[in-house]
Amino acid sequence: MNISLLITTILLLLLIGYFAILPLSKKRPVLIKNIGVPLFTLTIFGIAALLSYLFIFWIGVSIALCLYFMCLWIVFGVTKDKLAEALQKATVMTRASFEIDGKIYLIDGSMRIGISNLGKKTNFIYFRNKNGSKRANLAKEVFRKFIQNYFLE
Amino acid sequence: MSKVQSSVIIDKPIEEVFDYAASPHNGPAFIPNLNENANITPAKVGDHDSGVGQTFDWRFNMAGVDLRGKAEVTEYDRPNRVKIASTGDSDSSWTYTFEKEGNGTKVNIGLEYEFSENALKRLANKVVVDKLAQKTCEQMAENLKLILES
Repeated sequence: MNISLLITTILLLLLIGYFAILPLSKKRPVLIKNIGVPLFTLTIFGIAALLSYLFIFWIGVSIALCLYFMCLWIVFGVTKDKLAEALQKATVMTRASFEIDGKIYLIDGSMRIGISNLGKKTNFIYFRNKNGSKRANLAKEVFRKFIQNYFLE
Repeated sequence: MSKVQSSVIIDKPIEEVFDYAASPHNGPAFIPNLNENANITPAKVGDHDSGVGQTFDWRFNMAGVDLRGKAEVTEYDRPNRVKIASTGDSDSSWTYTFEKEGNGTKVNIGLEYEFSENALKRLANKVVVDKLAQKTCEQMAENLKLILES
């Protein structure tokens, strides 16, 4: 095994340990957020590139950059309904306004949040206008806590 | 024991500020890294009741590491002062004092704490924890102002 592959594999294992094994060991959902999502993508594509063709890495870089700018969270282990419930609870506790515009949630009139269900308990949460108001950002932080407070069913 | 404190003036009546800050239900909204207060007993304290003796379980999460413990309201003087003593991975006491300041309210937040050796090993070292505690205290004051001044 060459040294680059070894380092990338260790990095992937550390990421899996931190983002997945740690919460799952406490029966909590997996939440990969912000920089974690592109980092995961980059590491997986990095390993694929080291095992096959280098251009795969550059595909990974492009996807990682897109994911970084999308400001994405990935949640495993919680249903979409529970995520919406956690978001609403977070806005109540931070006294931020909460509106539903089709499939988008508008927080404090400044941050749009979408939740897309990919499977039974796998969801993407994406944030538009990521430079929302301070209150919207606080609601987002409290939303993160409430997601992590759920137990796996 | 280490001590940190912060204060803020909130442009809201003293009773409203007290009721929000003194309720353990609202802790996770304005205390950074506090993920949850659970098993709050009694669940609600009325305007004319004494909140002394209200208990709850808390859980902080710092960089993926859970710290847990139990807390009890030991002083409750609405709308002037509330004190919460907690034990567990961190023995601490949280004191909130409220004073009328013009049309608003001055809130002082004082935190005295001592981490168990086990908890410190799981986190980092004392200097880092002390800096984090000061930042937490300042952030709490800022968050209270942000939430209440709506």
